[in-house]
Amino acid sequence: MSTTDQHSEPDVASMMRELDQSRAALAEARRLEEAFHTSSMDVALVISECFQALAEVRQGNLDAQVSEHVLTSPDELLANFGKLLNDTIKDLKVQMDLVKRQALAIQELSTPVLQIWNDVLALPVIGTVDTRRAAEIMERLLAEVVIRKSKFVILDITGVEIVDTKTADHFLKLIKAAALLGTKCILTGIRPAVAQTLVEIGVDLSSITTLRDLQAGLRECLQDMQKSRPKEPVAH
Amino acid sequence: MAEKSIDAKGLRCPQPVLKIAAKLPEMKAGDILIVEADCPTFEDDVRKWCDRMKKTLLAVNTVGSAKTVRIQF
Repeated sequence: MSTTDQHSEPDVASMMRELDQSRAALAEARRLEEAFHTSSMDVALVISECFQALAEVRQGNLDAQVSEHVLTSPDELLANFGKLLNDTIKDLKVQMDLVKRQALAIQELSTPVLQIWNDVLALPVIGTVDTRRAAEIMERLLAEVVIRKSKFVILDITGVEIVDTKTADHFLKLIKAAALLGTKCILTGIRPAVAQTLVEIGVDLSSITTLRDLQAGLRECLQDMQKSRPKEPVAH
Repeated sequence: MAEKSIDAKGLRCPQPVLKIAAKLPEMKAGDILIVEADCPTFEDDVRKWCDRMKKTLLAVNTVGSAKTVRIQF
């Protein structure tokens, strides 16, 4: 019985769905952050207009249509505005904490390390890879390789739209570091545009195995695993 | 014509703008308010605030990550 038969078929479709969900979560968090900024500025502008009205009351310039209460107790109004201001700032702090927690969650989601088969880890990379993120990815991946004693890592860059010399260098370092731990790294999901750029800027990826997609990467890992298995003695 | 100032460094949007709003009752026409803040959206927020409140943004100076604005009331 072959290795492939011993396990169920890899559910690449569900992994791609997870990737899509991560992308959607990222977009949603960004949208929420922008919406939060816009709405909090709107609140700040309304409060400013209240203070403006109060200033006009104090300077005696306000229109005669303003209610008697406003005209008779500006100090009380000022106190109320102060309370409103403090409450608003408290609410905003709570919302800022929420945004920070979301940012942390996004960071976790952006570098998921998935065990997709025995001894095979997959690292789907989404978005831009700068030095800081490359360090995070390297740290997480190497830790997982050690914990799970994985023999193969598939670095899937389908979600990376721009790969320049610096990004390629980050990937090469990552692959070399994994190799030092005895793990074979396969790079998959290079987009046509990315491939074109890499050729144009002269990045040399000939030292590493690159394949079309995650599925091809997994197939390669399974074939390698099968080759390295000791052959069973033939029964006579 | 008085000149007043606010140190809003370390505060995140829209807290610096709220600090400016809180100064409104004590500012008179022609007074100048100098505000220093390091929130990334501070300059945009102040521009929006000045447009809405019909105040004049006289200057924006950047020193490192901090920005200092001069607003005329």
